[in-house]
Amino acid sequence: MRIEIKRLAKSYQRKNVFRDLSWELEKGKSYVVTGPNGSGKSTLLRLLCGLEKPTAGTITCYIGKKVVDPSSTRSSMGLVSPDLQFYGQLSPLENLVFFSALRGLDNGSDILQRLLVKVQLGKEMSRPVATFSSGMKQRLRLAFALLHEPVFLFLDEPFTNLDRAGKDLVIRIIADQVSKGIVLMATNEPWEVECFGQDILHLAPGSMGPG
Amino acid sequence: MGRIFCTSLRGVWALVKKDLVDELRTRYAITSMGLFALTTLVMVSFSTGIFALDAGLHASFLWIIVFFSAMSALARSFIKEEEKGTASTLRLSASPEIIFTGKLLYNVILLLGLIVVVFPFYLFLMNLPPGGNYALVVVFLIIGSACLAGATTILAAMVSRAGAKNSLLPVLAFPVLLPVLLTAIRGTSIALAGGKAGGVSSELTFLFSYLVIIVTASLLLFPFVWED
Amino acid sequence: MGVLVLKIILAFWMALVTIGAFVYAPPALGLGDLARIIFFHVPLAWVSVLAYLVSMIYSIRYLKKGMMVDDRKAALNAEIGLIFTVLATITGSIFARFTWGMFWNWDPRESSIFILLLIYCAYFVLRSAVEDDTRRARMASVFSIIAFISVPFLVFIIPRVYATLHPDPIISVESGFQMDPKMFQVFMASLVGFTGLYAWIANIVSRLSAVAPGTEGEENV
Repeated sequence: MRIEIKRLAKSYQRKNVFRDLSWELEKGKSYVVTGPNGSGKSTLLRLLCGLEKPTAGTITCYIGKKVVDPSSTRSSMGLVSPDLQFYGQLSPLENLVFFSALRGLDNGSDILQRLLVKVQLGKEMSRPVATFSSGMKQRLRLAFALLHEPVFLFLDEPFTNLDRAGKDLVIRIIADQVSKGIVLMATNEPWEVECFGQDILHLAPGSMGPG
Repeated sequence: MGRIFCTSLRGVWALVKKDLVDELRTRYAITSMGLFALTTLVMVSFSTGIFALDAGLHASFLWIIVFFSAMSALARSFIKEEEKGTASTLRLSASPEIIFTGKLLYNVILLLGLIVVVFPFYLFLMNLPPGGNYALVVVFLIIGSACLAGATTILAAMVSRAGAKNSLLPVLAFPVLLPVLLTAIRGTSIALAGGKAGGVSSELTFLFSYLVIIVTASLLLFPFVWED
Repeated sequence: MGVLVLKIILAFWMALVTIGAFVYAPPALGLGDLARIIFFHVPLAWVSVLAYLVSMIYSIRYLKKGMMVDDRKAALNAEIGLIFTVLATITGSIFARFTWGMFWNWDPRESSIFILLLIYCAYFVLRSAVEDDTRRARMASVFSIIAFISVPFLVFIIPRVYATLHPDPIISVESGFQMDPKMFQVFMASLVGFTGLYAWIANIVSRLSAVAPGTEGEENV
């Protein structure tokens, strides 16, 4: 499993976020991207998930030796990001049932319930998401990202709003993912960079690449 | 191939169901659309109730009410996803084609619901001339609203990507839909005057071919609108 | 050099068309001198549809290749098309005023050109509503194509389905209205002249946009 980023550039309204970014990610390590606000950490994750298209350059993902077709990246990518929201009128279980049906997965309700228990939302399963605290929403994001057991997991500030138990959960998820595939985290916290950054990419605003 | 089709179909159905459940719990679109339709209907009835109107006028009033009530509700279908931040979550989960088809079906259901409410009320409040071919009127209402939803779904997605400017939708939709509206009004008025299906075959063909073409084109173009 | 010669030819051509329209062509049967407006009205209407077609082709090209220059050309052609549509509407309603007594009476052809006008306006409203460059380009392109789909329905189908007062489009085969040979010559010459005029304007505007500040052709970074 490998992700190859070659001479990647992204600009909004002719303003460069970054350019000439090249990086390689392989299975078995945990990767961290860090840098001040506006340096393009989240943008990089969104590009990797295919939520946005690069202005220039390429991203190629391999599973084994096979290149993942851009149209089927959806089933191999998982993203945890504060940008992702859920339907407030629906309960977390209904949300997961919906998203797994949308993905065409055959997850029965019991599998989804077990997933919710895993992210410690077992007691809140039938409450509307609108009544959730930010920490609980963050846990639901984790469940959403793990729904289809992705090979590539991207975490954008995953520890935000989480309590002690939640942070432990994220640490477990990262450790688990390192053994299964690739995990990339975007963060600003020095201890997180220290802890998980076996390979670290520093971005500077408008940066010319790793430095 | 067959399996992919089946899973896609399940995705589409999940989206329709989600939107319906969400709508039934908030009742935002239903109430705003229903109240809008009723207010306009009452206004029309109040100001014209004393006159005996001919079929053409009735058909025009009916479609004007349907068009403007539909616009506010149809615009919501995508704007609510962008506003609540669920659009990205959807983008991560399914292909644009599934999203488009699901939203289109939901919009068609929404409009049929609108017709079910508006048409009986219209019959109740307005004194329609006797001898109308009501079965044919209903056919025109159904195919006309399918055309309305078919052309408006992609435009609603565009509006949601253009900074969620609600009032933009009628501006974009009106010129695209005018051929549909003119034809639907004409067909409905002939049917209200008691015309037979044979007399409006050109109108029916027109609406049907428009529907097929606009939905095919929207399906092809939707990825450009939906994804960045 | 060759281009300059073409421009000079075009200038003489248009002058000849104008003179021919008023002097050479005989007044039409029934309509009299009023019919002379077709030498201007029909070519204007033709160019307004042609400009739209060109704009849409650039839109499709933009969606296929993603080059901003195509989007810019699509917008410019739409702008030119809008002007021609306005002129066609005005000349048409002058004709309507003096033959049917009213400037505007929702004749199917009048409705068609009016909707074309609305589509052009909606296109520019949409462009002004989107802030991001590439997103604006994509939205405008998609709208242009969606709207274009309704054009054949309008221009060709509606006038056929509904009765019209409008003289038959001259080139149609089933037309019973026979044009005088001299009129036909001027008419075709005018059609060619206006198309050339349009091509020239499009050429100037697109060159102008390439040198205008803030729109330099920076494509990919």
